[in-house]
Amino acid sequence: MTDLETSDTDRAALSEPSRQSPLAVVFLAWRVVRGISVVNLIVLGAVLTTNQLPVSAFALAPLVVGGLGILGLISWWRYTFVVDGDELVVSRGVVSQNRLVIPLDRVQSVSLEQGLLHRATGLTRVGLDTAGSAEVEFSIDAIPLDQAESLQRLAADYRRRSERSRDATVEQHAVGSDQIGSQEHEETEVLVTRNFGQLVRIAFGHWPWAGLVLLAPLLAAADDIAELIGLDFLNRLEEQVGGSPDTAVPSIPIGLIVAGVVLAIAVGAILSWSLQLVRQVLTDWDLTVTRTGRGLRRVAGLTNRTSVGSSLDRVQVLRTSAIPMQRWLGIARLNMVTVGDTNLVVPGTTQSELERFRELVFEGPGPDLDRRLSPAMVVLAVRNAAVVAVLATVFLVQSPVGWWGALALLAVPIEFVMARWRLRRQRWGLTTNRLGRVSRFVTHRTEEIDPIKAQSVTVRQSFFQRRRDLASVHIRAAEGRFELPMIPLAEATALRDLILYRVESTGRSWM
Amino acid sequence: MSTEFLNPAIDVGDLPQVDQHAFEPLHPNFLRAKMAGAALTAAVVAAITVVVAIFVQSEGGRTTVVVVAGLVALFLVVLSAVLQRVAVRYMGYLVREHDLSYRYGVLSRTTQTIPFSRVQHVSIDRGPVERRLGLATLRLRSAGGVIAIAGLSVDAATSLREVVVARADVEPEDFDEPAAPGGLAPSPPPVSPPPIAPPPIAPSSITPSPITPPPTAPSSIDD
Repeated sequence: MTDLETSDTDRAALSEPSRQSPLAVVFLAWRVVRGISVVNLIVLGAVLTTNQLPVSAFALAPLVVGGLGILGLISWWRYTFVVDGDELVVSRGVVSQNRLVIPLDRVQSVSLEQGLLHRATGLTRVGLDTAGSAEVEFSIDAIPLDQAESLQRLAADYRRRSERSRDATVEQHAVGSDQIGSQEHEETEVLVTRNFGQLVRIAFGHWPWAGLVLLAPLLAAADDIAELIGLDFLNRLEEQVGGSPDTAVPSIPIGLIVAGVVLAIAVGAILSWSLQLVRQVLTDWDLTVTRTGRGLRRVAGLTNRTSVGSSLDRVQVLRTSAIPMQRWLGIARLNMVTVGDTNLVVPGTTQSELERFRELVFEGPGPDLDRRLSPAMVVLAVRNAAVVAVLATVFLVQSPVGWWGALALLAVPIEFVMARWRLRRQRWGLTTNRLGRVSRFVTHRTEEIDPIKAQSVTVRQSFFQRRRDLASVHIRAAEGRFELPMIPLAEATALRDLILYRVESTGRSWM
Repeated sequence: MSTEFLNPAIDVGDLPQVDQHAFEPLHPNFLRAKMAGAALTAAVVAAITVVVAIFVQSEGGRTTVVVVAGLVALFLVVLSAVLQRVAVRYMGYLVREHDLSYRYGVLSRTTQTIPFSRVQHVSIDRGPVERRLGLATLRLRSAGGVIAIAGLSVDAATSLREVVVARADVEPEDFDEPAAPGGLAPSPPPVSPPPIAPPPIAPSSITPSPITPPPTAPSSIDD
C-alpha cells in the first residue's frame, strides 16, 4: 500500500466525529476523582476511619459513586474527536464545551499505552504531545487500537510532509538531505528486541541495592511490619537493656555477627535482584525498538503495554551509561533525550546496537575523543576538599573525638588521588556533526550531541578559571544539555564559534 | 542521492568570532538605578543601626557592638554597590547577522549567545522603575531557555526586537506590542559580521560563505 493510500484510509477512519469507547467512562470518572486531589482524599479517608461520622453518612457512598458515574457518562458523551481537514478537533467539557484544535503537523508524537483493561478490550490510551511555543499535551483514554494507529500514522505523515516542504524551501543543499531521503523508505527495521533471558541480564546489571528502592515506601511502616513478622527482637533487646541495666546481655560471638552480616547482604542482594527482575519484566517485557519511515518506535510492557514513537530529528542528546556489572555483561543503558516528556530509553544495549543508533541519530563517524579537560580540575577539587576538611577538623578536635578528628584531613590526599583518576578518565572531542564526551570513572558515561541542536551557547568563567585562562562551555538543547566544565578559554570560544557557525549555516531544523 | 561522505577538519580560526566585536553597553540610567537602589539600602541600614543603637543605649547597654555591626553592614552595601558598578560596566550585548550575545558577571563572567533561528518568542517588559527611567528588559525565549537583557533604552529594546523578529522564526501573535516603525534605532548598531572565510569544508555538506539567511517563516504543508 502506498503512502497516499495509507493516509486516505487513516483519514477515513477519523473523518467522522467519534466518541471514545464506553469503557472510557471509568477512566473519565477516575480523572474526576484525581481532580479532587490526593490530599483531600486522604483527609476524607481519615475522617471516615475515625468513626466520628454517623452511620447514615455511609449511606451517601452509593450517591457519591452514582454521581461520579453520571459525571463520567456526561464527560464521555461530550468528548468527541475528529480529523477535520488538516486539524484534529477535540470537543470536551461537562459544563462548558471546550474545543481544542490541533494542527496535525504540530503533533510531535502520538504514544499508545494499553493497561490490562485496555488489552482485554482491544482498546488503547492515546497521548498527544505538541511541543512548540505553546505546549499542549492531552490524552484520549480509550479508543480502538486501529483508530489510534490511524491517528498515529496520520500525524507522523503530516509532520514529515511539513518538514520536507520546509527543508525544501530553506536550502537546496542542506546537510540533512540524506536524512530527508531516508525518510522515504517505509520498510520497518527491527533494531532491538529483548527476550526473557536478556531481561534477566539487564536486571542483574543493576547495583545490588537498586531493587530495594521499590521497598522504600514500606520503610514508613517498618516498625509495624517488623512486629508483624516477629523481627522486633532489637526493640525488645533495647527495652531489656534500658529497663534493667544490671541484666547481663548474653554476648554474641564475633563469628556469628560476621556471618549474620554476610547473610543479610546476600539475602538483600538476592531480594533486590528479584525485585529488579520483576520490575524489568513488567516494564520491558517483549521490548521492541523499530525504525520506520517515521522514526523510531519503542513498544514494551507486560501489564501496561506502551508504545512511544519519535522522529529521529527529535532526538537531542544521546547518552549511555554502564556500571561495572553492565560492562562485565557487555551491555549499557542508552537514553535518547527527545523533545517532549518521554525519552527513548533502551536498556541492555550491546555495542553493535549502540553503533546502529548512533548511525541513525548522527551523520558520519563520531569524533576521536582525544581532548582532555584541564588539570586545574584537580586543583579545584583538592582546594574545595581542603576547605571542608580543615573546617571539619577544627570542629572535631573540639568535640569528644579530640585529636582523632585530625583524621578528617586524610580526605585531602584521597580527593587528590580520586580527582586525578577522574581527570585522566575524561575525554571529549568534536567533528562538525558531533560533539562527544566520555567519562570512564566507576560508571562509564558517554554523551553526544549534534551541534545544530543547540538553542543557546554559553561560555562561562568563574573567578578560579579567569586566573588560569580557562572556561566552561554550556550548550542547551531543547531537551537536555551538554557541558564541558574546564577547558582552555581559547578552545572554549573557538568551540562556541564553531557551534554557532554550524547552527547558523545549516538549513536543517533542530527538531 | 547519497554522495561520498566527507568530513574534513574545520579551521576554527577562520570562523567569525563573537569576541572580535565590541559589545554594546547598557543604558547609563541602568547604572543610576542600581546605585539608587544601593543608596536606598544603605540609608535603611543606617537608619536601623541608629534606631537600634538608641534603643540599646536607653536600656543601658553598650552601643559599640551595634555600631560595629551597622558599619559592617554598610561596608557590605558599599562593596556590593562597587561590584554592581563593575558588573554593569561589563554587561553588554552584541548583535550579529545571525545571533545575539549577552555578557554579564563580576567575579565569574558569562557570555550567552542565542542564534536568531532558535528564538521562539520575544517580549519587552517594563516595570514601574524601568518606566520612570526609560528602561526596558528584552526577553528572548528559545526551546532551551531564556536570555533576559535588562537595562536597555526603550528605543534599543524595540529596535532589537525588530531585528530579532525580522530574522527569527517567530509567530506574530507572540508580540504584545505593535511593531515600531523606522526599523533600527541608532543605539544598537547591528554589527555585520565579516563574510565567513570559506573554511576548508566539503562544499556539499556546509553552505559556503556568505551564510544563507535562516528561514523567516515556517512553510506550511500547503506549499
